[in-house]
Amino acid sequence: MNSSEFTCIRKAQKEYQDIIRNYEELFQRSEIPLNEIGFFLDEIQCFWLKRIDIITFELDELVERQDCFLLCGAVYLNVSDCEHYYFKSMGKCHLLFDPFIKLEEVVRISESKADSSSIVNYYKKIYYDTVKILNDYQNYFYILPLRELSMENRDSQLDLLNKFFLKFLSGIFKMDIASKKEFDKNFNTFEEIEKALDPYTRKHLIFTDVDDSKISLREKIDRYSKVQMDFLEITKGCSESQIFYVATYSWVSQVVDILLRCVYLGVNPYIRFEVTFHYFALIMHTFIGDEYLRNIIEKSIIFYIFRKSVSVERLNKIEFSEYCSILKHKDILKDVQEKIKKQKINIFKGGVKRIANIINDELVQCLGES
Amino acid sequence: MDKNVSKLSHHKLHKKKGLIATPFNDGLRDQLSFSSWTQERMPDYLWLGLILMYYGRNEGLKRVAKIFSKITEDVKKIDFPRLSIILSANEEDKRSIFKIISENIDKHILSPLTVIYLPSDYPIFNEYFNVLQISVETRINQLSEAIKLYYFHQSHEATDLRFLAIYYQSLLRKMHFAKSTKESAEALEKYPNIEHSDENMRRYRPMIRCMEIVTFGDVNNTFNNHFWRKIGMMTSCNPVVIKFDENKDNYDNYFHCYRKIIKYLFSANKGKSFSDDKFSVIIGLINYALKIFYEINQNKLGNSILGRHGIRTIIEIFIMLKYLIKHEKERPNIWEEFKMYGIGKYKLVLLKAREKNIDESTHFIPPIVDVLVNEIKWEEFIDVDLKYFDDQNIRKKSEDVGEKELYDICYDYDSSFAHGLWGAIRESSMLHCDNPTHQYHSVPDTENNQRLPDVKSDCLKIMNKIFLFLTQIYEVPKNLKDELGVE
Repeated sequence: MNSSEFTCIRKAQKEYQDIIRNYEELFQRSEIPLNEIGFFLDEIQCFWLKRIDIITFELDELVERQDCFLLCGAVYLNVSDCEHYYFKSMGKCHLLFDPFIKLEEVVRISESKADSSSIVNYYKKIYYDTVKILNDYQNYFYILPLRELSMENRDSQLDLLNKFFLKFLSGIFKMDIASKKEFDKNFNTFEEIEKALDPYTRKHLIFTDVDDSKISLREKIDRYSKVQMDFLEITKGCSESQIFYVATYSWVSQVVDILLRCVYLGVNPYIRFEVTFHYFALIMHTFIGDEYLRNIIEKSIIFYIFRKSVSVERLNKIEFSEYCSILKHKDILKDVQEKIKKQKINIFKGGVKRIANIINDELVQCLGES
Repeated sequence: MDKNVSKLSHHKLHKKKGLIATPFNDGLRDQLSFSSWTQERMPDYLWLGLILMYYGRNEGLKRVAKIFSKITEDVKKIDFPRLSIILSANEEDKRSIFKIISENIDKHILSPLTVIYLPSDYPIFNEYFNVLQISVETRINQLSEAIKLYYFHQSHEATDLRFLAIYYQSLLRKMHFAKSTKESAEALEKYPNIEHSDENMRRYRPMIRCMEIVTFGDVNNTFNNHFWRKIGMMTSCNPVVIKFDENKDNYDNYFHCYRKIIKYLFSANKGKSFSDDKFSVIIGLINYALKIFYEINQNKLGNSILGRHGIRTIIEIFIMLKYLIKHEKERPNIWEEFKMYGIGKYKLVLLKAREKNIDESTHFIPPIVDVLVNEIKWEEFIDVDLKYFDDQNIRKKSEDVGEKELYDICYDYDSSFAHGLWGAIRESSMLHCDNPTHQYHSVPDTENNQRLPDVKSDCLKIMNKIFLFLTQIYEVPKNLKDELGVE
């Protein structure tokens, strides 16, 4: 990338870093009142809003010229676990949602003290990860207000998400479900819901991780409510069918939302979390008829296979900057796609092992492994 | 429409200066200074606006009265209820004021202002009025709504704010009324207790506004600029496009008939074309005008800027044609002079071009111009006239031939487009942004959405006038006239 290009996005990264640095003292405190996190969010949001027009302009240019990936289904990159190596491995430009704003609703709706400590702790993790990215890897990733940039016509997007979800429910329960109320009328307990599902769906409807596939729906929901921030608060006073509805909706709508936003922004989603990818794979067949969507879904699958099949030790043995400079001259994604085509693998029907082998071969060549 | 503005005859013409001055400017130019409610004073009082907006006029005024009364009692150093002054007060005073305010209103009411006065710069204000649960987006929307409501300086709502400003002064006993201004004192006393629909308010409101301007004190430009810049940058433009319909009349037959008439005239008078300058100039002018109209129609330029360039030239041709005919008796050579005037202009460009390296891609092709310049006579015998043709500009020519009205309205208006003057730029290429937080600025129409009123019907009118004028000079057979359908 030419250094004179996308100057406003680059400048914004530096200015953003300055703002974040100003809050170092806040995040060092052992206890932080939520309203102080709120103040911090105000600063960040106003910071981005002031620059939104020029960032929109430059981002449009950026995605038009380069294959861009956006980290989806994760709040923050997690540099301490070397996730930056993976994310940088495919595509030419790598974008991150502003992680603080991504979690804004949790802060703004939360009032109970019990929850606030987990929110604050989570914010601390995000803070240090973001600081690390801005300090050490500013030239490799762009943190942008992508939620705000992909919010145009949000009402119609939400309407679409609801419609899609009801269609999804109707499909898995093999009955017409036109509304949340209607679903609630049909089922009372988790057991009744479980009984109405076919064995395949029962197994694949997971909420926390793949281990969910072996346990009952009640146990799945129980596990999920323990790990998901604010889930208990959101579903307080809800019937079991409503709780199921909320849990399933959150996953299905998340992946549809990922696709909608990525299409809107013109970027490819990089999904690394298995449950998100699981739902992504469950619904992808609805979208692959469209050539554009098929293309970005294919790239996402390849990238996910890369993430799952390559051990971190193979990557982090090299300095990150050196790894990036190797990748500058090698387009792993393009090469893998070409080989998949050559070997006539239908990625939407399987061939995961063969693709993992192709990726491995490419990486061996790329890293000069023997 | 009956607008309260001066007629042209009320303006004063300063011929030497080349200026038409309004009666206001003419009499008070040096004493006039402008003070904008919206830009310079409203940001200071918007916090009061948010209170009135939330509680409604009656309840809002009562609550603000309580707040003012307490502030004037407890915090004596605050001379005006202006936010710029409150925010720059010392910490103790600030806390006292914010405490008084928050004891009388819900804290979320002023929360929209926390997107302008951010926690890092205004921690105490945020401590009192920043509500975690209200998103930045909601706060910005509420603030935009308030700005829209209080934007117009003479609205009832803005006048309410302006009343509060002077009401505060009266509490501080800083307002003194002379006997002759008894009515102002009455307005101040009665204003909060009667509805805007009351007939008396028609007298009170202007008095209130007048008093507010006088008592405001120094404008804090830093505070205002900060306010407008912050809110403006955080909201999106809302450009309003005006799309006039395209005139979809079919002119194909009209062009066909007009061309046929020109062809007929040329064929019937072919002999004249060899040596009669009058004939070739008339045919040339008319065909040139017709070609412009045709290009406008063919390329759908009726609603465009170029359409205006085109109609302006057609009008100029019509005026010129009438002018040449009018003066041919006293100056039989006028037709040749007209040709040589135009060729002289070409020659000047050619001479300049010969002394410079011309970019090959430019649309000026010297060899072509060279041929044209030397077509009538050798260039060594062609002078260059630097003045207007016949030393008269088009305005004078239009007066001379009785077409001043056409000049005044259409030609002069379209000249703004030809010269790229701001009126034309604003109308055609800059869109009105309907976002009050942007102070209704204009934004470029980069997508070419704005469509101006179509010029084709005007083109048709002038071309018809030209035709009727032509029939007075040369005979056109009735069947061709009938086909064109111009009477």
